[in-house]
Amino acid sequence: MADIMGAAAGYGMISLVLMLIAAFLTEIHKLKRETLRDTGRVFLCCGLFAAAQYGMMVLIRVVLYGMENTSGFMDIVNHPDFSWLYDMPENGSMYAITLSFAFMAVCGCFLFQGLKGAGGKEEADKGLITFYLLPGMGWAFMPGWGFLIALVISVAVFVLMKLVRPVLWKMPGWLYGGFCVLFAMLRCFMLFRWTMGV
Amino acid sequence: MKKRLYTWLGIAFLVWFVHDAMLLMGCVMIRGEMSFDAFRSLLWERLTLPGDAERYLQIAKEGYLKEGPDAINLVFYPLYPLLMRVFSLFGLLPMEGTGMVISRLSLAGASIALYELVKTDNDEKSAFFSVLMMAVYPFSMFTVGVYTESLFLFLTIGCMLMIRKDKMVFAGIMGFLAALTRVQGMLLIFPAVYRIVAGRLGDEQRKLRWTDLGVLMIPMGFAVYLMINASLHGNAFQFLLYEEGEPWYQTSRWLGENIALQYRQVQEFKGLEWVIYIPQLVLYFTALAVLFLGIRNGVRMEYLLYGAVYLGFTYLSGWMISGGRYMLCCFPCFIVLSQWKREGLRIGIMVLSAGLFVVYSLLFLMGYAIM
Repeated sequence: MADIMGAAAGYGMISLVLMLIAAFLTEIHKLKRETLRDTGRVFLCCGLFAAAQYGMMVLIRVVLYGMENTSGFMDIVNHPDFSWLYDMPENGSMYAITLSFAFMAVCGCFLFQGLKGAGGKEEADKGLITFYLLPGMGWAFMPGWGFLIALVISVAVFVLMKLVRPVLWKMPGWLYGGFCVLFAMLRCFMLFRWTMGV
Repeated sequence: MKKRLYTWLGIAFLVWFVHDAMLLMGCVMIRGEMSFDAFRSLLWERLTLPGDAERYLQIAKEGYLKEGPDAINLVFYPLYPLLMRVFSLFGLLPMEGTGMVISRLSLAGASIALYELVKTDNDEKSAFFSVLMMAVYPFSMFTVGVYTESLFLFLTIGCMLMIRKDKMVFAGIMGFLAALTRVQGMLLIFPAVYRIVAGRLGDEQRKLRWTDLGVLMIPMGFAVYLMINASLHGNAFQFLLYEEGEPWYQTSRWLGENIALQYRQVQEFKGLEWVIYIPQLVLYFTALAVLFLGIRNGVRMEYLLYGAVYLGFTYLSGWMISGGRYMLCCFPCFIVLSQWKREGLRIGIMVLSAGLFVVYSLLFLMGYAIM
């Protein structure tokens, strides 16, 4: 829990610095105010998803094994896929999580701008939420190389969406909502498995 | 002009009243009476002796020492004890009383400066709100004791006011003095340079002036402090060596590591978690959220930039136990909240802050480890 909190603090400060840079560019008219607002919303969205994912993991761990067995990321995750973190220096897991959060926010910015350019703000909002909810995307928020795959996907969307208008975003609201619920359930199921060390 | 003067006097008496009312409440609760002697003894015991107060008094009385157990007091910056020494020469009050008077006058000055700063871009209501928010901040009891908080607030807010008014020489002077009061004072160079650069590149198309060089005085305050270190010990960074040792064990680390450590300390140091570590954690994330709110609401960038660098610099401290006190001086948060259009929410926050101010002030007066 301590290293997760440290990662949240680090992510918060990195986001603040990036937002201040963006605000400065807006003030000298090198960036649109709308883009500044979009960037802030993406950082917030990414932060909320990360908080939800890690919050869920902590909750599962505490319910199953108690608060005293939830002191750090390695206790919470308890999965052989993260055993490499034991070889890292002290607080290594905290830095790895911070890095993942920061890059996922950057991914979100690329994705959002790409989809907005192709289809508009509403489609960009839906795309961003879907991206963060995708089963398997939980890996990108964990320490490891997952965020690099997410980065490749998001840059590809940024580039391709300028050329190809996505058909997926034309689906009815109830169907889109259903997919979101399904994705969220799958993510929680996978989190549960990780936490139980399966 | 007369109206302005009355407003300033009103602000000064308001902030003094808030703290004196708190001290009186504490006196009744702790001493069980409201006599002058009981009030004076409580003031002396809790505002001149605990924590750093003793060390500032030692420097004021004897100066920096080259050797002996008090040599480590070099880690404290010179302006506040110097002012105590100078004013005590008048012989009106003992050193402790002089310190408290300097703090009170500085508190009034800081509150007036904050009012004027907020009023430059907002209405009078918002300006008063910012003053009240600062007065009832949960750890603002240090503003009336032998501590540097009031003086530092006066100098930093004054500097920011001069930056806002585009009077860079005066900004440099106040920043120089702020940097001689606390290390964070030199961070004022960031908003000062920002004002010049953004003014040049933005809508204002501000022309560069030779008076802009005045901002270079800000880091010179820190340079003077380094010279003091060098003249006493032959090492300009002697203060770092003292900070690393007993009783502070201070180091600088990435703030994420420090937040993680604070969380562990919540679990490790039972009895101190609610007076030291939990407030420090809450204040970090709250200040972060408030600064983001400021970006969203279009608060002036100079204020937000100073708030961000101050927050980041403060939480680089590896063994922080006075975070509540340090964050009192992150005044951009008060400005952001005063400009928030959600009246109900900002009043709610002020009420919550006032409640916590009462709780933490009483705990401090009772001798709890709030430092």
